[in-house]
Amino acid sequence: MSAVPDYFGAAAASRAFIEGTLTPTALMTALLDRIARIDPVINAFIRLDADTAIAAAAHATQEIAAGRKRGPLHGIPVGIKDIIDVAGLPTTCHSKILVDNIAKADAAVVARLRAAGAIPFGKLSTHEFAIGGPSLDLPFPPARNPWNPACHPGGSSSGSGAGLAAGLFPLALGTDTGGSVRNPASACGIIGLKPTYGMVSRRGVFPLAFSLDHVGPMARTAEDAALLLDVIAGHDAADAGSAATSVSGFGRALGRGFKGLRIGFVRHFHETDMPADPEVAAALEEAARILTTEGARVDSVTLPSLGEFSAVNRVILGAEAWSIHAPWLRERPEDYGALARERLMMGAFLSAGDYVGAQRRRTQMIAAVDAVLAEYDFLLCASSMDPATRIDQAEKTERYYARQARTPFNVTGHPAVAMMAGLSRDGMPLSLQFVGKFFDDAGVLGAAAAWERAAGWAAHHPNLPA
Amino acid sequence: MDTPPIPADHLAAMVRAAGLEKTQALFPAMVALAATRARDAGAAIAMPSDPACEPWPPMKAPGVPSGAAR
Repeated sequence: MSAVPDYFGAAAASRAFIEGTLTPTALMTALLDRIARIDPVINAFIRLDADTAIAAAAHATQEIAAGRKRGPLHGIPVGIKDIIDVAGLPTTCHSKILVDNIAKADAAVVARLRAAGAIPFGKLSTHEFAIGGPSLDLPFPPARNPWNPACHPGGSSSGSGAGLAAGLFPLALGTDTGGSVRNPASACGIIGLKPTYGMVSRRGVFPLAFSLDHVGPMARTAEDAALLLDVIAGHDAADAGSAATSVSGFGRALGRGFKGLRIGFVRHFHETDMPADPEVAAALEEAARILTTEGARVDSVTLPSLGEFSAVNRVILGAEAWSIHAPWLRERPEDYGALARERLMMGAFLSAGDYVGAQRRRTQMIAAVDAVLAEYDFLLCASSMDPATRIDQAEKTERYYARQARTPFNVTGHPAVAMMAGLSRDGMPLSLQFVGKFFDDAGVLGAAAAWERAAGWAAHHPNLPA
Repeated sequence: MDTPPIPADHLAAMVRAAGLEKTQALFPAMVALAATRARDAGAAIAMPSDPACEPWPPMKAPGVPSGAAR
């Protein structure tokens, strides 16, 4: 049995399990060794139960050896963001408020992972309640960026992004209400998909804003993300937002290229609405050039302004989050970190008219995006307008978090993937997004896979101690 | 662009209505900032003028999307 290569992916590991060149036990042992060496710098994990993980891997090894392989994720470790319930483990939401909160049952996505034979292991750092971070005033330290541990890894699925970029696990779950899967994907140079709204159940996930919340797969390759989405997607009658449909086979477009595709490039997001860092702007133009070279037709298209998308997201998120946090914000405000307290408080002062008006404007924004997507296969646009900043520079970090083009697709619900588009002069990942039609998550992942082949950035990893 | 602060008596009424008296006592600057942000966020949206424009998605009946692979 050969040594496990660093950054070994889920699909590759699954094939190796079948070929008998690797076992889940060997994979888990190698990852736990790497975690012990690297995570003290990265802080991806809030909680890791190595003994339970090893036992689960041994069980999977026995099942696979006995010819009872359940599917591609059998024996594959998956990191879980700590707002997602894993039965018997704390779901702290990275907050003092819930530091003793033990989950009574698995979230729907965790139950689906277990049924597929995957190994949910460890709870991963987040921003407090998926909104307040990166913060240094919480019960656990913030995750850091493997490309430069002095920098933040984006968030709020910060441990998921950091751990993937550091090679601590091949797959992770994140959540995305205003971009929280795609932000760490952008900052850490991995891939994060916000699926179509309602595609993945949110049952057992601590809510931030009901009508904006998504659970999404995070991985280092589009193929791995598709494998994870295959397992976690599906209708759940217990989730009020779950789509009454069953789309599957999310890897079916992975082999498709860009030839003949029509791609709408939302240039005004990063050129005029929120001018991007010159390196980001250059990477996006280079992406458009590569897509054209690969045979796509790339045209500039126009959507509502990024500022208005952000305002609609802010009002809806603020009002819905206040309805969840009001009792704690009234009685225990001092138990929040400063950032979460500040960001959640706004909802107290929004009016019913603000909220309903934002929802009505949202209707028009959905129609506007749909109208463009009727003419194009995908949209190309910025994700983060800047490379990740130093975690100890609060003002620059606040600015980084505000300067992004992810919230439009929480507002509209369209599937959107963020991934690497280059490296800055300082060696930090640059990013882009592909956005697709409702329920064409497979197509979006197909575009992501084609981009991986055309651009080659997925092969780049941070320099970490051997 | 800086926007004018909310008058103190108006803010006090808003705090009472929200039940945030304790929070106001502990974090007065943060509460004032939140109220200002709420006012500004609503004002940044071009509210629909079409009376038939309904909200989404809370009142949208679930359905099978057309054209989705199943």
